[in-house]
Amino acid sequence: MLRHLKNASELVLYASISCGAAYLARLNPPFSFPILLLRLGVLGYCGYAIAIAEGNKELAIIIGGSLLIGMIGGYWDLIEVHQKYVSPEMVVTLTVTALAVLGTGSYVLYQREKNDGKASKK
Amino acid sequence: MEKLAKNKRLFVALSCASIASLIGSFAYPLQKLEVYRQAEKNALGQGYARNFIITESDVSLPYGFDSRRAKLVAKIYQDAKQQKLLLLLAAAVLAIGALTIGDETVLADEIDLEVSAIKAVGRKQLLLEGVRHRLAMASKSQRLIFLDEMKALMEEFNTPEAEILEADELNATDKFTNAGYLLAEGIPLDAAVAQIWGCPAGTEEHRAVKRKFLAWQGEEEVKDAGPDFRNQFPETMDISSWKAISKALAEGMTKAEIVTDVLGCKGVQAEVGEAYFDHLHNNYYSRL
Repeated sequence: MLRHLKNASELVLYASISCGAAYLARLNPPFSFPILLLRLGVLGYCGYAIAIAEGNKELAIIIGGSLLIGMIGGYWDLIEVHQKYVSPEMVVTLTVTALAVLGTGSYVLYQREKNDGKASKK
Repeated sequence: MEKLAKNKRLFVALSCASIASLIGSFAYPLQKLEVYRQAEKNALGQGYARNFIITESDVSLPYGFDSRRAKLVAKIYQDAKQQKLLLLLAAAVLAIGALTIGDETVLADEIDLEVSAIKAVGRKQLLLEGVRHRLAMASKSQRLIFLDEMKALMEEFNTPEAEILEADELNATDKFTNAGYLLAEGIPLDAAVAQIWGCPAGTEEHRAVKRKFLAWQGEEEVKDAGPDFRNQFPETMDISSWKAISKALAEGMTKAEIVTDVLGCKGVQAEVGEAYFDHLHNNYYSRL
């Protein structure tokens, strides 16, 4: 149980950094593009670490998750404004799409892990 | 129990605080902003609404924004910049604090869990051992109680073996009982009496002993001694014999005369005749 709490603390640390980057990008719009680039780069690396590379996949998952959480948390008030005044349909569509992507990705990764286990036994 | 994970509570508190701070930092708007809606027409002449979100951080107005046509839809003039950033900072610091003591605490806690699991197994085994021991003791004590009760019982009845022995001895010495056994085995009364008391049949002593024996056996036993005269006087003769006897009695004959004259028993057989007379007298006299 404590181990999960420790993982959660780690997630909170990286998420707070990611969220801080999002705040920085919003308060200083010139930073938004580099930060978006950085975010995409880190996310890509996480995908690579999880999907292809051998090694600390837990850390990669934690960093990827924290990026997502930080991004959503950093833009949350803006998302609320969009949902209330601009386009609720867009927010709903994006949320559902994101959830679908997450679910599909998790399922694919899970199956992959299972098949890898079987292959390694052979 | 001394636990290795001494900082467990601190670690849990720090972790929970960091999570709460991060979630809390998501709340409230970060910056002041205004939302405008502007009616537009596309190339086909169809109308649509265009929305603009203008924040305080925007250095320039978005392309196409016309301040005369745009209508203000919503505005947020109260932001929580500092609080949000502070909470974010707190979340990061608390998370770093939690992670600093995290590794050690988690390891120690896992060791503690392992130790407590082993202790639980040990305690379980100890309990089982105790139960087994108690059961064994209970069984033993029950056996002891049973033995004690048996002992008390034996003392109370002066030990059954001794009693049985005494009874056997008594039986062995009691001539009446022995004679009873012989009778039960089918030996005639006279022979049995003669064998047990050592007096030949027909003598005065034999007769006296026999009377005593019959008295000892009681009424039923006397009846059982019937075969003595039944050999000579079967039951079918009873009524006619009694008629003859009662006739003789009415004529004033004595018992001895009846036995010798009517029943025809003389000498040694006089006793059989007397017994038959008594039997008939007992059975029929009362019915007259």
